[in-house]
Amino acid sequence: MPEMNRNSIFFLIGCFTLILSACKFKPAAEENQNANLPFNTDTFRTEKRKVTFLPYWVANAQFAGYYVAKESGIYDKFGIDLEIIPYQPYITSYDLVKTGKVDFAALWLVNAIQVRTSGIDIVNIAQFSNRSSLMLLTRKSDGINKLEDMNNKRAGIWSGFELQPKALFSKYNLNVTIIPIGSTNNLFLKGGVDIMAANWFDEYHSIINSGYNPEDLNVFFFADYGLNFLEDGIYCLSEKKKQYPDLCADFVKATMEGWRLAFENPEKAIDIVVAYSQKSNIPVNRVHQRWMIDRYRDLYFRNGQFSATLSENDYLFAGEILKESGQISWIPPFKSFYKPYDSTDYN
Amino acid sequence: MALRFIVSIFISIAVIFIIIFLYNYQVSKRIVEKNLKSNAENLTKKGVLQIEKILASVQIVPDNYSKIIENSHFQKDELLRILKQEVEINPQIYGAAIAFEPYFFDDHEKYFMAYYYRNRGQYELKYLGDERYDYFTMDWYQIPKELNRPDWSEPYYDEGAGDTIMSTYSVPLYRNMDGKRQFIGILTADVSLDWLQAFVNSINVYQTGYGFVISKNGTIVSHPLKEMIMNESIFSIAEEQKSSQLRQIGLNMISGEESFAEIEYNNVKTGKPSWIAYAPVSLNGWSIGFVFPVDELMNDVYNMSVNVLVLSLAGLLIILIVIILISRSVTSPLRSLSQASKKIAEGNFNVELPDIKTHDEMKELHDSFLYMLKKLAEYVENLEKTTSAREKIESELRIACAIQMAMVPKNDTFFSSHNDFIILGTMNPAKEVGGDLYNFFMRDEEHLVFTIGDVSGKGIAAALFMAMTNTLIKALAMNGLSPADVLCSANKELCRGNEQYMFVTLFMGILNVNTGEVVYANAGHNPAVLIQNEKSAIFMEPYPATILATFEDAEFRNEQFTLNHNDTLFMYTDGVTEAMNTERQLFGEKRFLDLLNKSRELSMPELLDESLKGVAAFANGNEQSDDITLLALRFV
Repeated sequence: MPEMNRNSIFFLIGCFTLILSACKFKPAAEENQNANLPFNTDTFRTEKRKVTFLPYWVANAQFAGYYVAKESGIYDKFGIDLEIIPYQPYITSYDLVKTGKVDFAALWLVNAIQVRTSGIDIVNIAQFSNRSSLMLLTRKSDGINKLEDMNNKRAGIWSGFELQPKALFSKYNLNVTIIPIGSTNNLFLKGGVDIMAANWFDEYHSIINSGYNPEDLNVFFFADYGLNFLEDGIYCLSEKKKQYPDLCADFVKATMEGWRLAFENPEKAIDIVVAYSQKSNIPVNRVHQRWMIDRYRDLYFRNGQFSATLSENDYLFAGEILKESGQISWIPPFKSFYKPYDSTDYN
Repeated sequence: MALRFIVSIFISIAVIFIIIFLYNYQVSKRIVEKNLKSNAENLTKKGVLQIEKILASVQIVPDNYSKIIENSHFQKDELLRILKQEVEINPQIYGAAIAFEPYFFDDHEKYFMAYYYRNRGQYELKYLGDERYDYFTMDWYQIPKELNRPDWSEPYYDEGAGDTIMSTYSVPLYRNMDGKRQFIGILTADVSLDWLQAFVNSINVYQTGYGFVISKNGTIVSHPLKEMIMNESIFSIAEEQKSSQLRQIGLNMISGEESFAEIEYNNVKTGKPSWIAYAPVSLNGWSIGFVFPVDELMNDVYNMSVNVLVLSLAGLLIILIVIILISRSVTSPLRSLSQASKKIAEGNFNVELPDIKTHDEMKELHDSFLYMLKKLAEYVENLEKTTSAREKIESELRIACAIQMAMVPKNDTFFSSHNDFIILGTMNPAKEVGGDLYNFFMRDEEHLVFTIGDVSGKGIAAALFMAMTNTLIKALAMNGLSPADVLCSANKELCRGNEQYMFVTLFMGILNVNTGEVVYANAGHNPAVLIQNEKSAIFMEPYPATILATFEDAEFRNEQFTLNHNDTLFMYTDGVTEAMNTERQLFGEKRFLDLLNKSRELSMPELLDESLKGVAAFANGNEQSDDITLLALRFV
């Protein structure tokens, strides 16, 4: 009967908040009995700095860079002893606080803004995603071929992820009934809803591999309709970035190297990711992981460049939509939200 | 010829063998395929039936209890009792849950979900549903709610149930409220799919074949490769294999189609080409498939084909040998006969013919050839014999002819030495020399003795007999005897020692050259013709006397007449009167007399010549069968 649920992501954000709050201004490792040294101190570089990272979803290739960097010894090379906390939908905040600390987390931009405005002082130190992968899917057989056809239809949207679809429907004046759904595509596959939110790198491919041919589907990328919300970025507490800028820089650099390696050698990356998935008893198959890596390459590279920069425009665009929709009451200043890993300037 | 014969027969037979082999292979393959198809159909349908039986036995429980719940207002305890019963009633049911819409069961509680399940042989109750377990958006709850019908969930891992794969059958609950039928919650039954995997894996599909089950989404639910289960879908495998065919199979399967072992694709387990059979499990929209290892099935056909091929080749080899032997047995005697013919043509009859043991056409040919050879040899031998015999005869005839001609006096010398008479003789021997003779000589100054005769028989014997007669007559005549006395003495002499019974007809006359008086005697010879002046030529009818050399006591008589000047006595042998024309008519005495009368004025040589010509004209080319001898005496 138990089932994973994507709305636990929302819950996790809460967890994350709690973790970060719980260890405010304290590096995670400091509470670890085995390594109670401040991990950014150059004089102690011989000792590995213990760091924890929390992905926002189960182990799969959307976090390939982290797994590859860890398994290929890239973090080691940068003097980092990284622990990737397995995503657990039922970990309580108490458990998290008790069992481990989160130093770095991957978050989507809009979620991060929401966390920030809720009072947790997190900063973006690297923005990998350059393009929204979010899309709406419809069946051609239902005759929903353009945005207007969605009027008076039912859309299955993951609970907690309604922001972007709502913004789209309101932008185009569409009356769409949103049905909050869990983490599976089954309601859409069984015809329970007409429209479904999907990530290009994930659900779209799952649906194709559940018996829909690409030509059976209509795809509406949010990015194509003026709602290009950037996704994956690396976040940490503002205090941590201030106190341990080198560690932050090393973590980001190592992660980027991990991603580059994954893009260069996807099969090896898939081996690593699949091993993690299997350890967590998560259904996984290579073709899906391959698809993910290929799509992440599309999402991360801009003009052939893999950068980690967040532009003010992208930030403000997301902030405005959030504010307009009432999700946030104010937009934190860009400079206080974005503290690039490769900059020591901290004001 | 032998090679062409062998090659063409061998190729024909080989082609027939190949056709039979291919036909056999195709038919066997088709039989195997047909058997496989019906086997596959049985297996698949049996599998579907078995699965549906269990699914149906699970379905019926929440189906029935949902009616009970819908129609009554139960307290919590009663609901839990119903739930417990649900789990207890069917061992296939691992757990059962009832969950209600927000605030339905309790105005203060958003969530109400009770879950009864088996745990190590015990039944345990658990309350679920809170912010972390927000069941309203879970498939088992949401999908039947949204679809307004019971639904089997996609398979999922349940770690709590010991890492087994489960599927949940959910029945939506409704209640009439304010006159409207409203959705109030869900009643479920969870089934562990262990039995499904055990059942499908227990079905042996030959050695390397296997059964598998996919869910409505194509997810692998049962498969011999454990790592496939839940991780892969038939579509992800198709993508991995880059097989649009397998993807199509998957699409067919999840859309409820069935097919029995007609589609070939590469077996995931062995990577070998296989057939796939599948049929839908209509209760939950899943599909069961069986993979049939083609190579394994075709192994029998293949092995049989190899055997057939080996046998065929062996057969072909035997046939080849037989053909070569037969062709040799045919062509080798032919070749020998042909060589024998050449030798025979060169005249060598002593050739060895091939030994034919069979009793067929070849034997007939051989026997015919042998017969021909024998006949040919005989013929040639005969030919040699007759040739030498003829040569002998011909030489005898030449000798006989020489004897005969030597006996005949030479006209010229005699003719030129006397003026009182002209005597002229001519003899035309026939092809085979006869025994004609004539002679004339002076006994003394006054008397000319002349004879003409015909010896019976031909050849040397006749010639010698003639020579003997001639010599005898001449010797007797020289003694001064009269013709009758000469003939009488000669007859006696000739009768003696005439063992061959030869005989002679003879006319003998003696002319007194001064007076013209002729004394003559005739021993059975043709009468002479007397041609006198102013008179017709006549036969001189002689005193009938017998032939010489037959009767010892025969008597002969002298007769006499006188020749006047220019009278001619014409003597001849029967070769003249018995000359035959082509119509087999004899020349005859009358024609002879006419001829002589016509020619009487001619000179002696002309007379003889004309006589010969007359006979020849009558014969008109018919071959002369007897000697023609003429002797004419003219008193001048």
